[in-house]
Amino acid sequence: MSTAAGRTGVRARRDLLRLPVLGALLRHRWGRLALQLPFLIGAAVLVYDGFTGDQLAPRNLATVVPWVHVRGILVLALLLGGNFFCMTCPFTLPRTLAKRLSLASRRFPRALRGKGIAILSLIGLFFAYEWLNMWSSPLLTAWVIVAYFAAAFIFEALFSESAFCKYICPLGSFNFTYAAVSPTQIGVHDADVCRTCVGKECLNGSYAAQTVILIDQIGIDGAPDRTHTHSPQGTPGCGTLLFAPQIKGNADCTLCLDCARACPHENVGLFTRAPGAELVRADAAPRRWDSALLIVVLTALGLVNAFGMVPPVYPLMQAIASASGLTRLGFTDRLVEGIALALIFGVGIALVVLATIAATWIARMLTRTARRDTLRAAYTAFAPALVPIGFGVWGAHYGFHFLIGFMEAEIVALIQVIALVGGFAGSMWVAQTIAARLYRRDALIGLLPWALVMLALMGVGWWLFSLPMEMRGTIVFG
Amino acid sequence: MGNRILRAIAVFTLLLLLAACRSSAPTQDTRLSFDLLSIIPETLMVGATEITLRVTREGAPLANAAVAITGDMTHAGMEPVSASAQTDADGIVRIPMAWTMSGDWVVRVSVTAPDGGLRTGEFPLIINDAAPPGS
Repeated sequence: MSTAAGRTGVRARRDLLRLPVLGALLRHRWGRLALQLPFLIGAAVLVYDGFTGDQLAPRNLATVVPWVHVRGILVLALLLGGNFFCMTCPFTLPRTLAKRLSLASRRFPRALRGKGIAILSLIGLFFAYEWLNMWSSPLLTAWVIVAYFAAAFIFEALFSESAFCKYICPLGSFNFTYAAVSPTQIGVHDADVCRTCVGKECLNGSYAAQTVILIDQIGIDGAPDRTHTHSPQGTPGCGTLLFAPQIKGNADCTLCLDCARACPHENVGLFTRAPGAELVRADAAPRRWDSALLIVVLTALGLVNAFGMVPPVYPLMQAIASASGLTRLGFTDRLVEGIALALIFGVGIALVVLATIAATWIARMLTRTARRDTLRAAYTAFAPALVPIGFGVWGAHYGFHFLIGFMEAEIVALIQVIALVGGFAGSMWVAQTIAARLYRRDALIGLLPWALVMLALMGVGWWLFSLPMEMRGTIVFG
Repeated sequence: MGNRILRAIAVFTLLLLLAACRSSAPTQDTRLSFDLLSIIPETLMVGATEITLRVTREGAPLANAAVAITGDMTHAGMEPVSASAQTDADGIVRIPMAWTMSGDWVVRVSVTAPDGGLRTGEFPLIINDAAPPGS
């Protein structure tokens, strides 16, 4: 009999769903709803305060909670626990309603089933955040929350799977990516049970009102050893179409735990694991450009987003505006700022993407593996190495906003350095493991180009976080 | 199904009503007014400054008015700075303020007259980390 440790990837240690109180709560039919409801109430209050409250950002819950507290807690939760943001996400409540109301069972268009839209939505969100000074506008933030509810509802009503979570949601994409560092993961106790399972309820859901007799549990005399009764209302299967025994990491897992609730064998669990374990597994990362680019673009966005809040960005935007002649064309300051910012975003992201592609290409040349490994194969193998440093950059940024209100600036700076250097060290560890796997005796020379890129990323991060953060929305061109 | 939807809508409506329990803004004494006379040093930088205001009531200087100033950054999460002082016989008040970070600030002024009349207002400030070139 195989175990979760052997079959579902990382070494499983403890199933949190079998803990006395916590496990019962999480597995309960209304367990997720109980976690989501407080956040739904919170969202309603944020929207109300955003529309009607004091429009000074520090005095309004719509800006204080999402842009200061939630982001800081999110990073901590990912690091210490798991993707609890998606687990408690209130946006999926109308999604569930939409799913139940929906008559359509169409799948999301095949051509769009990837991370392309998620990458664009992430860039769009962070660009809008900087350009429209979302951080200083309770009203705009409230509209974003409303738009989120609407988008989740519409996409879930139109498509059979959780298309919004899996292919579109920028917040979910952030969480999916950085949940790779989390110390928990969905898995199964015994993969053999899944192999012979007829209903695959973890994926398909359990809606059969009648008692289910499972073929694999029919005894020698033909009588069932055990029967299972599904709830007449049923439990949905995995919204993002993950099959529990094949899960090798946290990508695309919203931690909704529907799989655990639906499994008639009580075989699915939420296991503890070594943090970041999936990053060094050869078979955990999809060999797809879009999945790899999501990691790389998120790393770049971490730096670009931080760059948007330090003093050098303002003279740079002024210089772009004046060198390109934008200020002479009679455009409004807002439009000029948008164009300059778009250029900064574009160049920043392109630089990181091109640097990583070049590093991969050079590593293949240095190790003479260009014929053996395609550029895509090598690139997608190395891309997970950027997760720790990307997480470190975001952690340093969000940690600043979260902590600076009640902690000495020097201590906050120290925490930022720890996040950044810790992320770099983690990335180096992952990269050297990948290089050893790919290049064996040539691992050191194969590692070098990626190590230099990661060193450069850390250097840029170090420079950015050593600058005074300057929350400025007022820019006058010309 | 219908009941469930109705229940969800009812809960959501109740929440919005609860959120509506907001205290109303204090009444403004429109006879009171204040003018920003100066901020020293003129180049606004992180560190100490002195803000000078003149408080009047129907155009005449108002002595002994309590003036409280609070500075908030436009980004949430930053610690606000605040200070207060009383106007002199000419209605002038000088308030020392220490800006803790560079960036956009909103300064809120609250003037309380000796008879309890209240007037509030706000103005934006951009605080630099270092003196701009040429200043």
